[in-house]
Amino acid sequence: MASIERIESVFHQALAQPPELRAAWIEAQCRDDAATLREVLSLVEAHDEMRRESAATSSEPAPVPGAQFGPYCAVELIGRGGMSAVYRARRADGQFEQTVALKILSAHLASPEFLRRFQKERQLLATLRHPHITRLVDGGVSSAGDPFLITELIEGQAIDRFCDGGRLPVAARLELLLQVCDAVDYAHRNLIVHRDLKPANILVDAEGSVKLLDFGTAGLLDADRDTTVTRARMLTPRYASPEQIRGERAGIASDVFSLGVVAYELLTGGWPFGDPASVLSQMNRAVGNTAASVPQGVITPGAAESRAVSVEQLRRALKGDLSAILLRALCADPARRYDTVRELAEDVRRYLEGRPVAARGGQWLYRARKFAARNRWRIVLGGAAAAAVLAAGVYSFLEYGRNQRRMVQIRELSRSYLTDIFREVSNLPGSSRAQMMILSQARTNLHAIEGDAPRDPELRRALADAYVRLAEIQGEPFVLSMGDSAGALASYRKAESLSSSTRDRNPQTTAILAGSRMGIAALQVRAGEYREAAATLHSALDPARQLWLTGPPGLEAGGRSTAAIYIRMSMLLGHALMRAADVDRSAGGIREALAQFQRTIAIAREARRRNPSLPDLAGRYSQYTGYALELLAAFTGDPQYYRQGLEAHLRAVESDRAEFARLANPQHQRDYADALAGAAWCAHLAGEHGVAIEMAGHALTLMEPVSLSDPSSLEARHDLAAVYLRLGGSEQAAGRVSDGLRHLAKARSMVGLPEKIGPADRETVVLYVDLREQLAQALLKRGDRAGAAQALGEAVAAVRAGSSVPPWRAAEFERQWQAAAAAANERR
Amino acid sequence: MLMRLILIDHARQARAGKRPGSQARVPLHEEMAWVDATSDEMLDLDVALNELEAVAERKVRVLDLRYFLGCTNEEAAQVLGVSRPTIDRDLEFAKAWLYRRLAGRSR
Repeated sequence: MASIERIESVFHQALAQPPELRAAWIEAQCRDDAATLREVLSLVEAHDEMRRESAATSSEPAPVPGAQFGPYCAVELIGRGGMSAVYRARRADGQFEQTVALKILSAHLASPEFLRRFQKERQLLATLRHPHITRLVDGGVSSAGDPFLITELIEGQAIDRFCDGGRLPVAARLELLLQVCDAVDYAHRNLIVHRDLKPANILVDAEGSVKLLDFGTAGLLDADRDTTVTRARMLTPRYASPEQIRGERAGIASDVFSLGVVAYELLTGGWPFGDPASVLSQMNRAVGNTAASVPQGVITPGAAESRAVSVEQLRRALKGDLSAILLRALCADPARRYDTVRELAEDVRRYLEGRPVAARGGQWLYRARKFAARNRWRIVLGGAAAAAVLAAGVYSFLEYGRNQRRMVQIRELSRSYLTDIFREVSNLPGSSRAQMMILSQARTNLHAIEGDAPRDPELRRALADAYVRLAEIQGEPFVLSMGDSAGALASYRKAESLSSSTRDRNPQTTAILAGSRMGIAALQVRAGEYREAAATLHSALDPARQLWLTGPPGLEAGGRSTAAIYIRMSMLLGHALMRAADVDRSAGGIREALAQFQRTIAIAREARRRNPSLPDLAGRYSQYTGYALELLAAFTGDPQYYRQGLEAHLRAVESDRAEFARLANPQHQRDYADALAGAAWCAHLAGEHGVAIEMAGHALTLMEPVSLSDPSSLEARHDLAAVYLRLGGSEQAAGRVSDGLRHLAKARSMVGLPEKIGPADRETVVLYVDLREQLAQALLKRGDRAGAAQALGEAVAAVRAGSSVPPWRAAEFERQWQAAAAAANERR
Repeated sequence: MLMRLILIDHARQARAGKRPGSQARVPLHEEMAWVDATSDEMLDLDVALNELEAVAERKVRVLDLRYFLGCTNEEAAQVLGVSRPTIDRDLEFAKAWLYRRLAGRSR
């Protein structure tokens, strides 16, 4: 038996040999070991073949889209980014010869809101006329439905390569930087922020003239509020401001920061925040309080050489004024940066002209201003210096005492009400009412002691954590909560704002921030805001992963481990992608969701490896791949996906059964029942009605006691209705129409709609209309056309009132309803 | 942790015929582009990973971290407490192993 260690060692050594000698070399190494010889030879062969194949696929030219882009057609791919691809393009109408750059944005990322803004921004960009900004020529929506932009084609080099390639000295680099500043400032004065300034977007042509690219993804300044927050954007973390990393509004100050990073790199050759590849430096930046390293401290002999000076000369050049300018632009707090790019440029000019720079002189003034604002009443109070000192002392003492008391109170509260007691109670059957009592007591206490947002970071953390717990009891979606989504959202937001302070870089704060964003995303999914949820998650996932993998062990937020938070985020992203794809009927989108669910399963695997005492949930997440495969089968018409889906569902059933056997509580019983019901429906979709009925029946015997023991829980009642729906649906499909009708009617009696449909009710509407659709099918089988028409009419009315039902399904309901109504009238 | 999801009987819509664009592949990761994250291959990959894990656990963890969790090589090294070159070697070996195990099957 060949050992894996031996095989691996020979494998690696063999790869180090010249290719033509490898086989002989391996044979020589394994003269008496036929098994190792065979293994290594086949592995090396596989390695080479894989290399060849990857090389072949990567050098394969990407297909040039055949669509029409106004009067232009694409010629060849010249670049690709996260959301877009750039092609060299030509005018196709032969009017005149013109080669341009064509940028195509991915249509599936473009919501109607995005398209509207895209139009508006395009008009504004078209008005930008500046020698250092790439001119926008045209734009619109292609014949294939993708939004596109046409700009002049720039043949040039990225600014950092241009500088290093030409070994430009510091002063020449600053001159180029001034051109960049000039262009960015011009855009700002036209109310446009770039938001993705980086060397790759700043080209220098052969004449040494700067051209700024990629205003195509820029944002409007202040046109409406929060515009930049609601949009999912791929930003470049290396150059992004802390507020951008946190997913907040990006304005002028963000561009100032990014320019600061670009300038820093151009001047020093290093990155201001440590090792750009290090997780820790990125995490600290996300929390927002990593100070930039002084520029003269990061230079290397190589950097000095490409600036045509010695290390000592470069260090001297950077010390003092330039250092002050860079650090001012790179302040974590936007308010402490240059107010405008023009001010930054003016300081650079002052430096080049040898005049004193504002960045240095301004420091004490700024501090004095800040001090005065913070201490206004003390200054007013203290006519005499002694009085001021005394007053300040007394005030501090009082505040200290108050904080201490609050701390004790809030800790007591979090500990007793929201942790121990709640955990006890939530595992009791029928506990929703008791949870509610704890909840209202907790809320009263929170309000009594909250007052203004506490200054003490530890107190803020405790309060934020309590808000996450509160939110979860109030209405965390998809678990047995009180179903108060609006209240939950408010609490999550409160926790989010309490924990997104730029000053607090404690990992616990980052964990709470992650926990609150996870909750917000879950509520957004629940409200049918899939793109918003995906945006929330895209900004929150990386910090959460880093916190889990490299943060201190044992961190929790709202009683959840960082592993649990990250896994749930990953799953929610898959869920949001899947529902968005359902709306678009996009098989490609479903595949993306499926890949995300596969990732989630791998994450669960890794979580278990890191902490073997965790329950094994990898199997339970297979349920989601099961759902995605059902949709894929529907959208592609390929029934093999149902079979795959059923396999995935059955893995989940197996996993949940094991969990329930290990720890029998209502939540696990419900999970197990739900997995069974999911598998049952997939069997139904695959045409296996008998199996489906059997499994749904089993699910019912598990779910019914959970729901009956907790009559005040809406979630539990809907769970039960969902099981009856599947049972009845399968029964009517199998020809057992009476049984089906009875069970569907039972389900119908459990799901009502509120008078006014709010965002939190949209998912309930889906259940409500699914029920009516199945009911109508059963009634039609029995010849009751009027009854079917009535059920479908109720479904149509509910969908019209607002729901997460995709438009294509809504249209289908309308059609069915009209057909049934027409048939019913004919009968009469 | 759970979401209630009931997908209605889509089979009716499916009968309307195959929709275009359904053949697109989603590579698991650009460095393992020969695995489609959304096909039967994933089931095989699962089995293959379990096999490899039985003899070389760390290599499967490296694969998971890099290609499923999206970690960089540095992050993976930090998480597993090994050096960058070790991660590179683990990946090289594991990829060749998986390719040998899987690629023969699908083509």
